[in-house]
Amino acid sequence: MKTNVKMGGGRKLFGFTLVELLVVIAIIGILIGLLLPAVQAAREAARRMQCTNNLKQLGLSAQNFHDVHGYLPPIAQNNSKMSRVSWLVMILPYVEQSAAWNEYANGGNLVLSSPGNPSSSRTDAKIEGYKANPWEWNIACWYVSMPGKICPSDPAGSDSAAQWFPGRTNYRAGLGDATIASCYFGPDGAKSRGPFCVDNGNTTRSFSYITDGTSNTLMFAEVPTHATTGGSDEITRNIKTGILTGKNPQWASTCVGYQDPNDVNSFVSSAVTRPWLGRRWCDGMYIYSSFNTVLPPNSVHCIYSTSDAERSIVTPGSYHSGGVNVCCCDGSVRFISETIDCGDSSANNDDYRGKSGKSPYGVWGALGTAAAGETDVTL
Amino acid sequence: MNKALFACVALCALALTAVGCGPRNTFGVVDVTGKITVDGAPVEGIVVTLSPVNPIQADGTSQRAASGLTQADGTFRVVTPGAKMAGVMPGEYVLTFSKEIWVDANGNEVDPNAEYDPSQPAPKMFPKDLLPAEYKDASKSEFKVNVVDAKTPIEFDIKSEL
Repeated sequence: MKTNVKMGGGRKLFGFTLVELLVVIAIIGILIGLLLPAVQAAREAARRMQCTNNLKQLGLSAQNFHDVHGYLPPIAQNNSKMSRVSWLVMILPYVEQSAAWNEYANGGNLVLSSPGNPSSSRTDAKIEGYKANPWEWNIACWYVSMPGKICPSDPAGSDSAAQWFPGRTNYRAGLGDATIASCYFGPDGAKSRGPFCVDNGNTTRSFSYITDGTSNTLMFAEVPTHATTGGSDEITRNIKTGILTGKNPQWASTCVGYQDPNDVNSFVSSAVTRPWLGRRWCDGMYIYSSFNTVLPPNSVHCIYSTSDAERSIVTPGSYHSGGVNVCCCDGSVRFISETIDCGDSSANNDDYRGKSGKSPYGVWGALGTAAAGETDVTL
Repeated sequence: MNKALFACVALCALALTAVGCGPRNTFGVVDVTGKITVDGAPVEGIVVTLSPVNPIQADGTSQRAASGLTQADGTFRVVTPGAKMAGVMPGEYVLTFSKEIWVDANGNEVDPNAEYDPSQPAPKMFPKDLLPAEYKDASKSEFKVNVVDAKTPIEFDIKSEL
């Protein structure tokens, strides 16, 4: 193929034709094209492994908490000793964050230089015996660096504070297959069917309650986070990162109906959505700290009204290919395929919430419940 | 010769790029379009739900429920939760219908998305279905469909009062 060109001086010059160059470039292009997805897949596999490890650590810390206290970490307590904090705050001493815990327990130091919304902030200095509130944006311990609460695959998942809200988290505690209102403003009569949260959060469950078997009951799972508070409309409309408000979670199918058939990753344009997911890692309100197994993995989230205390459906999801990471009550971490049997997600949730009996939501629902008589479920 | 080689290389590159692009139809859903009328007239904003008759099939595979929202002309397309494209898994379903609004304790319609003072408990409000309650109960539904492919017709007329 090589062409020898005879120049005037009689010297031979070796050159390539245009076609030859194009062929070489095309081959290199194809090789890169083949290599790039493999490299990306390897990077994602590493991120997924990191996420698995994060869940494992959280699972172990919850086990340690249980060893010391005899019950699982409470969520959203409503008493004079504790503010409405999440389980993540309760396990701070068990994930080598004792300094942050001590600061919280002593009222919290103020960060006055943080950007934010002064109307929702505390302006007084440290008060002895006061427990910092999770919605107070200028409490220093809410900004503690804790990379283990973020899944590295989540594009929104940097550990830095999102505008005026404290840092985010991807990891949440299991409330079973019932949609219940946060207990903070008073219980709505329905108890959780998962391993966490009963009554007004002051009491919680121990492993002895989990008669379905600790390896068959989800303790923690991952849920995507929303990057910013205002959020771009696109991110807020995304079914993974936005939460649909003003829809009745009693019928999960009602929420699914607002997914846009022209783009199933988004809600329809008439739907009202909010950027609440994953923000305020320290807040015990269920939409910030918990999940339920009503809808299949990687599907929609919705809540009764614009109150973050209300009944909600928060569905585990991830940016890993094909499923979500979960941590079971025995501390084991599994990868759940998004094709898992989810039973009839259109079932009336009021037939199950606060009651005993098997979950209508298939294997997925059975994994969520702690004591519904589903000892035979295998993953 | 050169042209043929060039075309060949270009085609190979294109084919390689195309592989792995586009969402996969993991659940094998078919994109059905249906139409619901109330007393003969189309109504916008009815949530139509297809509940599986057998969530677990005889062969052990699971069948998921799907839901959609009617447009102004009464037509709807459904979405299966977790699926990467619109549609419903083939199989037998019963249909339920609902159109919920929110009311306060006095029965006056309220906007569930209205902002309120976050330091106070949320205002009490309750869902109210504008359609008869029977249409929401899958166990009582007389509307059935066996979805075979995207052309399966789903057309029903429901009543505003029973």
